[in-house]
Amino acid sequence: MLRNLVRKIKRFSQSERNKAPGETRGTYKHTPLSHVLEVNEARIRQAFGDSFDLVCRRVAIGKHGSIAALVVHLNEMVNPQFVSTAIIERIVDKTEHLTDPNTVYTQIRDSYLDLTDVAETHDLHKVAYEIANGNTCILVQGVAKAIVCQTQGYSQREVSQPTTESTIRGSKEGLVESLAVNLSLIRRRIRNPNLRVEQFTIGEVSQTPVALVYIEGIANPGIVAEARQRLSRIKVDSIQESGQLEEFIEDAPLSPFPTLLRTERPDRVTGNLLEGRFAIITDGSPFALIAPATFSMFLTAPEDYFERFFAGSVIRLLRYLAFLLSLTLPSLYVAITTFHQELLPTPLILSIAAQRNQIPFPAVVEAILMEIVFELLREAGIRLPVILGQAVSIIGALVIGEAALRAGLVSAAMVVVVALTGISSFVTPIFSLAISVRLLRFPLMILASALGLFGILAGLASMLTHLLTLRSFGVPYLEPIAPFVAGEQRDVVFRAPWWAMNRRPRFVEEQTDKRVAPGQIPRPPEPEQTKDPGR
Amino acid sequence: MKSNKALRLTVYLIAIMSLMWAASGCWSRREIEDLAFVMAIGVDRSPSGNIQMTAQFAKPEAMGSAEGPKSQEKPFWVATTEGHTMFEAFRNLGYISPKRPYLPHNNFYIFGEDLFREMGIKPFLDLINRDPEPRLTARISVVKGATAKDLLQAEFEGMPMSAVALRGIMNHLTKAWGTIHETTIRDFLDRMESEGIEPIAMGAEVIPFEPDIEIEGEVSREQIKARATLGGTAVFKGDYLVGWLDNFETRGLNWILGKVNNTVVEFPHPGAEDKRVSVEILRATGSFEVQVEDEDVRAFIEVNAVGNLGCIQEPVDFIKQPEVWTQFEKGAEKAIEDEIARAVAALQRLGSDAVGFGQYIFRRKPKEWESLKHRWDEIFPAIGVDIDVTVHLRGMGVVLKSAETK
Amino acid sequence: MKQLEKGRISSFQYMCMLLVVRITATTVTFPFMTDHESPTDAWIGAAIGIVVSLVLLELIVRFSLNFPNMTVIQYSQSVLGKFLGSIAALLLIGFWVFDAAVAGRAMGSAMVNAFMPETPVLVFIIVTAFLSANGARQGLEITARWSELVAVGVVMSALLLALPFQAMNFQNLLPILPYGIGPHLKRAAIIVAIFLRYSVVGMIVPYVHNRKEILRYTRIAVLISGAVLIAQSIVLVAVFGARATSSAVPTLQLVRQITIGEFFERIEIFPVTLWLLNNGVNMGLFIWASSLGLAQLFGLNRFEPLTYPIGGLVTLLSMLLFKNYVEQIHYLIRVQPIFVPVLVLGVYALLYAGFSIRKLVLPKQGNLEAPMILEAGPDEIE
Repeated sequence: MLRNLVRKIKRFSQSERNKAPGETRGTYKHTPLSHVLEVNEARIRQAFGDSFDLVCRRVAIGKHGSIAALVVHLNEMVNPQFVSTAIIERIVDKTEHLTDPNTVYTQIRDSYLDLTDVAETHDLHKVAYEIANGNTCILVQGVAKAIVCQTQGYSQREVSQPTTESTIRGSKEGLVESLAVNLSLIRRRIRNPNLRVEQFTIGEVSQTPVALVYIEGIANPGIVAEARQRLSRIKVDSIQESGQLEEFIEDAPLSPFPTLLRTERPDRVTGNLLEGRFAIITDGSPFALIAPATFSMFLTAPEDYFERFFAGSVIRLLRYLAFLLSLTLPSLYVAITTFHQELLPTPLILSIAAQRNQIPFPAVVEAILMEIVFELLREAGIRLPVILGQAVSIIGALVIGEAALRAGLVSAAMVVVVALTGISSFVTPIFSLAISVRLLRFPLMILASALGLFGILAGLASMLTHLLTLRSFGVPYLEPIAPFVAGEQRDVVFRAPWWAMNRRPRFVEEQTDKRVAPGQIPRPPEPEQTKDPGR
Repeated sequence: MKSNKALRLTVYLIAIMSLMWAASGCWSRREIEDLAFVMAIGVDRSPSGNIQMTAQFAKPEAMGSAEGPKSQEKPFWVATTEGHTMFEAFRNLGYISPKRPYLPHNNFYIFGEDLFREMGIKPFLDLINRDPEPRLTARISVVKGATAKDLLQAEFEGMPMSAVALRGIMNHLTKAWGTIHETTIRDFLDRMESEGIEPIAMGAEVIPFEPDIEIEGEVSREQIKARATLGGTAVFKGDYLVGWLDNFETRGLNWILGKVNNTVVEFPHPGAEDKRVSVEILRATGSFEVQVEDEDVRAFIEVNAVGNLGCIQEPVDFIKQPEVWTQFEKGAEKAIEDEIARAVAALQRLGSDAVGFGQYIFRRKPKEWESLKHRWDEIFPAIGVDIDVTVHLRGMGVVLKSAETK
Repeated sequence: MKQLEKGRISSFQYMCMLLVVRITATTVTFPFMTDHESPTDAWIGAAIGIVVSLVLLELIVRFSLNFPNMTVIQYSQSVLGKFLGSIAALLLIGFWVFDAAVAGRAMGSAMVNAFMPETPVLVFIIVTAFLSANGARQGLEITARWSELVAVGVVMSALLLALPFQAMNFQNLLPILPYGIGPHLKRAAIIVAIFLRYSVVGMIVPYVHNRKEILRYTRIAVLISGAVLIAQSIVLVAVFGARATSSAVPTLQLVRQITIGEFFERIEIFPVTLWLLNNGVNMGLFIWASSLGLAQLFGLNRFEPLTYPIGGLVTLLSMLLFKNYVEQIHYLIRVQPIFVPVLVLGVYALLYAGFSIRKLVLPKQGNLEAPMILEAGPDEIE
């Protein structure tokens, strides 16, 4: 297994070794800056096509204002107060005793600016891209260089509760659209220099910053290198959402199953980082991608780890059951009512028979119809504004449920089945898996109507064969189950107590350090210690 | 990539299956609304000598739904057909039932006594055993003195369908009386095929509700106001019906086999003439051993029972007369012993070893069984039986003394 | 030597595969119960068969371990020479294809007999063979992982045995040996014949990671499946008594006894689902073995293109082998216990003879790989 992974990684790294990550390619040409400030200003203005939000502020600095300088930024991408107090005010005040432009420039660069992140460039295009990125550039008359100051200050959403993955216990913070904020959310949870963040800029036009996050010393370097490769391979005009990125780097692009885990929760990101996985965070998207992803991760909720382990395990078991139900329940209904009527207890089968008596459709048509109606309702509920969403649920419940039932179009049993399926599919914590299951239900229903349970079995078997061939960044998708890893069963179907979860997944190369020091099972103190001397 | 291929194949498979689905019309498919669920099967001998099969079908639409029962319709209907074999007769139901008769939910096979006048039960059981549809956990019962058709048309209060009602009676009798030996098709077949034991089946009776009406010929169901009950045991030898055990003989058999759970035993009051005592047996275990010494075969039956005092017709002051308590125990032991003796005597009279004395020898001493086997018909009726019953009475209810006249 | 199969499996997966191969035969047809006298103590026959199989398999595996990097197909040619070796290899491959066909047919008939009488048996065989060939095409690793998943089923089916508990009567197990040891030897022969399907280990051994554990895991596999077998024969008799021999598919009948609280009956479809999977994996393994074997025999570059044709061949054979159920049962009870041991043991005896002669005549020959563990010999069994 591991050999395969290594082989795979080698193959990738040989084919695309020489391109350094992060360098944007293609349209980018090196154009040196001019010594003449006016020329530079004109060129920058030209680069932005005289956009009205481009601010080119001429400042007179140096002794008696003898030196002209230019402060350029985009109006709404920077924090204006920051620019005025930390840049303009400082460079005007501090340079009053200087006359030489070069000295002025170096002094500004090295000591005058009240900023943490200052860089320098010779390249006009770089200047333009930095400005586009929300930074401020300072140019000085007679110096063919520019100082790049980090002054990004655009409006962004507050850190709020994650909307797609809510929990009762656990952090209430969710990732937001800003890469910087997201990184701070992660850094705050792992305050360790070994947490590595590698930046990539993806999207020839959009220049979207993307960060690859992992923990050095825990993550398998081969897997990280593979991720680096795949990210730097992407050539696309823009990346608006991590979902686009996912399609470029996943292992099995045609599979109905997601091979990257997508999450909105920073605690989920850090939890997986600590297990040796890496995360990819895209600016502009509140969803981080986590890989290597295994199937069991998709049925895991953060709460499993925060609640006491009995509760966590039982609820996780329930989730597996719900997953199976949402996948197979409608097809089981079809199979049982058309092939295996002997399976149900007599009173139940008689009751279903009584309901089905007036239904004009065969069971499979009834099931597919109802499932489609349910999917429609669900989609409408997501698209509509929240207030209208209630209207949809009323229509769904009353019109479809009650009226169709009374009109004899569907049987009550079918309505129950559809409702159960729907509820079960909401239980799956990760939406991308729930979507796959929604799709796979339909072929299963058709198979069930052709060959009954045997058909369902054939469908599930071919699905499982597919799952068994799947890999996520070289790691088998069903890893702890097949191939069976006895030591990892403590976090698959059951969640072992934290003091027993002492190992990381197998794909982590170095298993030298244990996660948990041994012998930490809480015990009541020894009797002599409890003796109360006062008693 | 490998996985893409797997995916493509999956897509192919689905395409192929869909085509098969569209093309074939699906071999074993049967929509649930096209099935007529058979709840009980009755088998009789038709006047022409063929097999007459009576099937009781559930009428699900009359069973009521969320909106309440739809009408006063009976929730079942009964159809009768004829045929040379069971299979033929069953298929002939298709001439009557607009829906396909569907057997797997059938719970009862009922045979009319007449059927076994000349023939054994074997020809009737093969379909049930061979076909994958019937359940082997269905119960088997023989109607005494009437036809299975009568039984299936009998009416019950509360549970109108006789298949369900008979099951209710059966469960109740098994749990509270022990006067019936619950027999599934499988038990019957087991006994039939095993060495040294003979099959038995539950007995059933039809009780005419209005004795004036004669049940003869083609009578419409409304006219027949008959009730039915279970009780007693039909005793077979080989596959022939040889006779009956009554309720208490059946309980005697059940004592030996340890099948009595909770029951009521009554016996004469030791302290008062013409008065009687009932005790409630809560648990009982039964076992037997058979000893073979040369030609002499003896059976030792041991029954242990624990019970409470149920009711006495003449008050006793147990504080003053504690010995009466022991007399009660003795009385109960005597009553049970009598029952067992009656049961064994009846079986010996019928010549059917339904207890399994022979099986005991076969299991413990297969060599000796080889020599006894051929003469077992002669040996069995002459087996001497020693019965040892121990009854422990524990409680006496919530009163110490009975209500007494002043 | 070309590496046709690149997968590597763990010794645990190896054991799971063996379990799957064995359990398939046990559960679907259970032929050794059928049509013999003295059903009550059938477990004695099973026990004898298991002991004999343990010895024979020990020999076969030890012999295979003399060539730790070669499949039986490859070393048959280096041991017996081109011509004889090819014949031996073809015989084995033929046996595997044949056996896959028999297994497929057995499952198909069980489905048709017990569940869907109107459906042609061909449908079940085609679907299963197609899925199996598809699995085989993905290589040994996929089959191995499937086996792991399904081996869980072995544990589950062992648990299922306890479900008809109220129907069990352990008195039925008496008497012991009423007809002497004779019928048990016949039973043992069937069991040995079924265990000889393990000749497929000759194809798997070179792909197992830790070869030192192969012998141990082979023994464990035989013992576990033997335990399941014995447990099953005991439960069957406890439930059915004397009738255990009269059923065509006794294990199926057994699970049909399962009732949960008098409410759920006829739930046999669930264990049967498990067996279908078992059977599919089993067929997949044999299709894989025969495709790989053929590719190695004829020096092809890839074995994957052969899996579908062989799957088709299996389908065809399974349809043509038996005209009806009677012939199938007849094969399983009467023909198999003679035909299979003669074929498999014959081939292996031939191989062993060739190997010994080569060793005697050419003690330091280069094309034979150095023996890795012990050299096989009948006197070296523990």
